[in-house]
Amino acid sequence: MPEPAANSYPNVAIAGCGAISAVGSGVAALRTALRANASGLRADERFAQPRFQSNIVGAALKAEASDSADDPAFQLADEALHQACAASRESISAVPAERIGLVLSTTKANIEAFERLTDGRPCSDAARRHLQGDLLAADLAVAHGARGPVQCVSAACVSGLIAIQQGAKLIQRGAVDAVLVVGVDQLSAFVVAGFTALKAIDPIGCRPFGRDRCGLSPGEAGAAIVLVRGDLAPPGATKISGWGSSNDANHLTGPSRDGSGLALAIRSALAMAKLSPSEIDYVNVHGTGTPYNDAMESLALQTIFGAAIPPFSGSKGMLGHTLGAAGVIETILCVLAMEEKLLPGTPRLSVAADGVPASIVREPRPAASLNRVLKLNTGFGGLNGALILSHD
Amino acid sequence: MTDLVITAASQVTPDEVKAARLGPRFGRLDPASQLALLAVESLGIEFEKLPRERIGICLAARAGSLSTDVEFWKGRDALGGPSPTLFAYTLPSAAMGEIAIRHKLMGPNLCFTGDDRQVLTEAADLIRRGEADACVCVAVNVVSELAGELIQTSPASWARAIFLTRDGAGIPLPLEEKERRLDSVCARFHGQA
Repeated sequence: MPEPAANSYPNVAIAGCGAISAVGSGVAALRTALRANASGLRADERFAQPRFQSNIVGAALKAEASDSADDPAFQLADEALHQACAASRESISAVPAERIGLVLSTTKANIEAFERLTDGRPCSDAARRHLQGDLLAADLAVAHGARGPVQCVSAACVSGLIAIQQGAKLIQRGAVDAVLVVGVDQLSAFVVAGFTALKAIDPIGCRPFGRDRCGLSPGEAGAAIVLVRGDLAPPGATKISGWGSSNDANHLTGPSRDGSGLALAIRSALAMAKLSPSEIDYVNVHGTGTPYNDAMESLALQTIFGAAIPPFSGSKGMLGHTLGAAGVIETILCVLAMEEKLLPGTPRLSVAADGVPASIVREPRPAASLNRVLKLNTGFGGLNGALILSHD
Repeated sequence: MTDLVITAASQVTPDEVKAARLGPRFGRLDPASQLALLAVESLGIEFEKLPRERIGICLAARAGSLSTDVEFWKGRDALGGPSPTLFAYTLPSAAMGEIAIRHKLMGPNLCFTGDDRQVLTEAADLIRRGEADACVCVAVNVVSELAGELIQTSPASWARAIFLTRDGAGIPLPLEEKERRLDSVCARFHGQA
């Protein structure tokens, strides 16, 4: 069998980012949280016990109170896109609208409308329309002047990384010159009740890779990245160098115990980026805080890197698990870390579990070199995703 | 440019699901997963003879997981809350996971909601880029009465599947030449023939 083809396509780079999450609105808020190793998790009375397993969640700090809004998915995505488009104005201002695409990453789109309609509460036509992710994507594209191809990726918690790779592919095969990649999922009774049913929520807030970890913390975010063809990118922009995805083919809700599926996705990404494992400077892991996920990721890292696992850390103690937005906002954190030459920490980790590789980063610290970063996500359905970011 | 070949195509309905015997787990799956699994089974591909790390899955769920969302959310006021088993199927990509589990397919995965026309384009791209040697392409649409009321559309249930491969990948080509024609099979996949 042939090896996956090395990436001989045009460069794709990140021209600008935007995010609204539990640590605030704007990339500056994310940067501040990254430096401080801060956590945005806090109690939220909407998710009180006993109906829900925990009220500790990563609720987005919205610019304006909007509890009555029936379309929070559109609002979060729209705000993130405004920020990302403003940040990349110089790169995309001359690109014709029909040469700009949009890829949305979401697991539940506007689930708020679903809850309202099934409860018999008022819901606008637009909010109802955004129950369907593809229509939400189409309306976001219209709102942000993207008249090229539009896609809605929904691949569980790997959606964000797959959306970024889809955006890169659209550019590489010449369909467009720029792609707005936006990830969004909102906190909802539907999702928190689901994770409660699975007993997958840590009652005191997630502790990724911790000795006493026992679950995730639900979160919400809107996160956007503007991808452009390399020649349109600003100097020093972060490049998308490689990616891979795979399936454990093992279990619908549990990861494979040996990490072989995730290792397969990492190998594909390394092959596309023409990199050896020793050239990776840092890994941002999925790190949900569930016992099985974190153990599986540790094994996958050992499989790929052997005894020389690069520094790695996870970001869900900062943001919560933002589902369809996770891959996008955690990639933005990686971009900021590369700009700052700062290894991100693992918020809310105190005592690491036995077997966690020693190279885990607890607190942020300066990096001698941070030019090749590997981003990982995994999800229900046995899905695995890997993305490699690079600086020249 | 890599030459692509369609080696099999199928289409299934809920009536065929009722008659299907695909093992003890099959009856516990949600309708979208059942339809998708049966459509893939109907392709007649002997996956165990193929390099399963090099076979991708590309799925479009036209109405997402809305019908299963409705069933899951009916249990919100039940003692003990909604079903944990159903929660796993409130993701449009659940059917893709079930296909991978049944046939041990570990290659790249793509899942879209809405328009299924992008499935073949993206599957072809996966193969042409060398990320996979072959791809199981599935379009599934499940809209129950209640889900249809939410999105103001008519109930519907069907799934279609295609097996797309790189010519020369060593995969058997059981279809007749005229049946393998891309335009003919694509039209059937998109429900236009």
